Amino acid sequence: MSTDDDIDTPPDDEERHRRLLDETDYDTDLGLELARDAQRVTAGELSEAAFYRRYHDRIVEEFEMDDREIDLPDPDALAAGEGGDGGVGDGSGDAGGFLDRLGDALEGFDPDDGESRRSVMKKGAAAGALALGGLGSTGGAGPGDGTAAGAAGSGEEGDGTRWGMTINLNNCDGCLACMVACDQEHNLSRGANWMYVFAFEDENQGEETNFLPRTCQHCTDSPCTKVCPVGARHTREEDGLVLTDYDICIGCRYCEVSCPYGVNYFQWGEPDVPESEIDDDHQIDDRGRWVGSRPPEGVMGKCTFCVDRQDGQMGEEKIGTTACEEACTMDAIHFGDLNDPESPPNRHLREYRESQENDRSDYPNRKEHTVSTFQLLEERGTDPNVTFVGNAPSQDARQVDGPVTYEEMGLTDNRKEVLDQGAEAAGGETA
Amino acid sequence: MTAAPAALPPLLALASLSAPLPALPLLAGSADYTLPFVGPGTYLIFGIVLLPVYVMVGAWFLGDPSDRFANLLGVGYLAGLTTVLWGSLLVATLVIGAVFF
Amino acid sequence: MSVDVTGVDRDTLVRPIRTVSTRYLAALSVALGMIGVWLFFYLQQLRHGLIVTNLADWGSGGGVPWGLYIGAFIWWVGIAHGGIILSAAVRLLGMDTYQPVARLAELLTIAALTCAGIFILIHVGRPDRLVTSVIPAWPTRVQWSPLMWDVTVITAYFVLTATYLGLTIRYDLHRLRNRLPNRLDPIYDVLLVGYSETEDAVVERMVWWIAFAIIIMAPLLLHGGVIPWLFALLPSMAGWAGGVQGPSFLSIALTSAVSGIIIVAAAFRYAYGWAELIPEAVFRGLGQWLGFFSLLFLWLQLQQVITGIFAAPTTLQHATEVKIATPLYWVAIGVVALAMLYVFAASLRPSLFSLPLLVALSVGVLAGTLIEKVLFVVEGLMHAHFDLYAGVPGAYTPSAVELSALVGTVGIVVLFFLVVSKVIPVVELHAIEDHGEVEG
Repeated sequence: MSTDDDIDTPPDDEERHRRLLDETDYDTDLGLELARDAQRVTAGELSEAAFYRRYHDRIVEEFEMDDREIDLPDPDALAAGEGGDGGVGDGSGDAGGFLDRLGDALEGFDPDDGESRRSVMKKGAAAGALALGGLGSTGGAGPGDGTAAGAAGSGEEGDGTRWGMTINLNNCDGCLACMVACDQEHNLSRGANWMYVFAFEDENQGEETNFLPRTCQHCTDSPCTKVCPVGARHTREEDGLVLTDYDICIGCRYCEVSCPYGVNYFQWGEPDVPESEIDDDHQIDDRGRWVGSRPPEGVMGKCTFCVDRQDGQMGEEKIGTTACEEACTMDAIHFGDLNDPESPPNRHLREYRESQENDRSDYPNRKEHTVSTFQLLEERGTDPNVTFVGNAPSQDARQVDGPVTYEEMGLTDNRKEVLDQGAEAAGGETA
Repeated sequence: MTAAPAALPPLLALASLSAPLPALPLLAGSADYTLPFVGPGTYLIFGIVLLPVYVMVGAWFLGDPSDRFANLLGVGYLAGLTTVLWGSLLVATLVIGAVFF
Repeated sequence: MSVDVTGVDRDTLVRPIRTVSTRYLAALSVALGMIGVWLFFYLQQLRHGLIVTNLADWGSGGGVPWGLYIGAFIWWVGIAHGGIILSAAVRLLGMDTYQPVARLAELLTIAALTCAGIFILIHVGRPDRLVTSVIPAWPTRVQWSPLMWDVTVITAYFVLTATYLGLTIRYDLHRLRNRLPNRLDPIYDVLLVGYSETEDAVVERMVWWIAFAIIIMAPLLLHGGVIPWLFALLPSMAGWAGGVQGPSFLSIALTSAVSGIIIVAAAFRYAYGWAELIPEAVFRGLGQWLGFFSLLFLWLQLQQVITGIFAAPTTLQHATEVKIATPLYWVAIGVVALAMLYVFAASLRPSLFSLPLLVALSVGVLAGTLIEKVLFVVEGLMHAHFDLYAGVPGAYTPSAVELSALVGTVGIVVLFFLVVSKVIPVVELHAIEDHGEVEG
């Protein structure tokens, strides 16, 4: 445990939130009020629409952003992302402008930086996180968010670190910012969507479009590590990350066919970003193995849970964060050490459950909360380290176009098309 | 079953050590990340698949008629061909590696 | 149904070694041409990467990561089974009828396994690491990875078959040495190192045990084992998982293996006027084996189709429905069924038998089994349990690069037989002379 006293009691909590918000240039009271009222919303004392109306003007005034709320498709997302999606949730704006802004946000975090539009986004995100009562590292690298303590390993529960995620599907609005952030951070080739956000409709879940951000599940009992003939795909002993050693991989793709989730992306041709443009810090982990950033040609790649960040090579403050989590302004992605009860994924899950208490005074047999969680294909026995909050897609779920298309974000959905073009460019000898 | 009540107090004492643990089950757990050395392949390959080969080599040396030179020639073939197979593949891959990678 | 070919003289046996015809040179050119076509395309792949294939990522990527290369790999390993079945039938079960084609079958094993190995080499993204990554990892990964089991068992099968050949050839070379070309003496010297006629009985016993080892290992644990386990052990793909894959793969392997032997034996019979040495009875017998194995093949396909459509889990049901709606699948089933029906008909009415027709049907069976294998691999990958992806099922048609490898490996097998038949007798001396005769 770190020196922080992490045992939360409500007054302490508010005090900590106030302290954090005071460090920003933004309205502390607004943040705290948002947080309080958000809890009322979840308790059913305040309607989401009313919550939205109440704060709309003040948020616009504070964050100078008013150009996106009309595009938000559903009230859930609206309420949940109130403060945060001002920067990123806007899928309707021109893609270039958005990418610029996001690109800025991803250029490392300079503590001495003055006020930029990017930090506006970050503060907005912080307020959004508060609004759900889920103060954590979400929204990115707020000072003193304490995730480094998780990275160091709490030692109290489990052995050492076990990196994992809680992804709250109720909060995701399908803005695809996480996909873009991942794509840029890891220099991925077009269509290698290590982070992939599904928009899907499910006849068992009403008319609305649901979202599911899919990373590698970093399974504790991962089929891919079992089948790898050369031990290139392996689970890192120190923290449970499932990684690929690019120096050993022979490119047989057995990991890819054994994975039930389809998270692997082979490097079929020359990578889009040449190796000369990628620092060793991104690529070589703390054991000296080449496991980070995009794979070279002929080798398998997939989400690494930003191993370069976890090893402190992107700076101490990035430990316990991922690019996708940092880009998410909807408080959907929570990354951290699952063995640490106070890590963002554990804390988010706990606080979300606490905020959705069941009425047990009248119905004592009910469970304590109304939050449903699931893991993808839990019945496969892979023991994933990603837990989702929300409803699992059923067998009848089908992928649909989301409110923001992959193309609008400069992403490629169907990689086959890119590969076909590449094959033609390589000599036109395809049949 | 009768031993259970006696075992409870120490368990409770252990539990109290982790007082800050949340009441709700979270995502924690302890796992051995690396696969153990011995796996299904251990008995499958060495115990079952290669069993006929052990029997074969054993029969070469133990049966009758037997001849030391012929037996060693047989073993030499097994070892030599394995070496030649992988050795020539090594040469081929090194050439591919030098020219194309 | 034993056939006596002991009247054939030794000169007939070494006829391929002592003649070079224009037809031989033409065949050699064709084989080299086929290999050349493949090498041309393979160079493209080495230069640009696997992007020149039509493979892609499953999942959001909209493709399949395994395709013709893996299908052809399985196919070649299946054909390789012919060798030991015949040799073992001759040696262990005393089925002397097939003695004239036993060595051709063993050679087919060596050639087909080589082609299977080539498909692994060209399938992987980093062929340059195939030895440097695999060998150091072997001691630990063979404990777990089914692919490493494959590497192990295929190596063992190859080495055992080659050892079998290396030991049995000594007997023939020693006795035919005076009929063999002097310019190849260095090769014969190596192959005959330390030979004395007293070893014959010992070697005979040794090769009986080799046959025993591979008759257990190759069918039951290679094509009825580690090859199907590559797929059967993965529950993520609906059409792959399950215990029926072992027997099913084996039935397909045996069917294609017998077809392969029929074609090779008929080719030598035709090219060297060996009607006496490889009589029609051999082909009638092989044909009946082909019919029997085809029956097993069709029976196991029926098992899979009926369990896949009656009350299967949704993804398996879907995969099966797609399979039986694929015309190519019925082409594969059709050619095998046709071969089976013809063979059984010819058994009932011997006058219906025609060697050219049997060879044509064998070619059809080889095509059918290849189609079945590629469909199995590709369609299996197209029906993952996790089917939320709009890009799943993806699309796949083999590219010219991939198809050229098929042409190239067939060329390699042809070249292999053309070259080997100029060096060693491809029919055992035992086929034409009883052991006693030779000893004297």
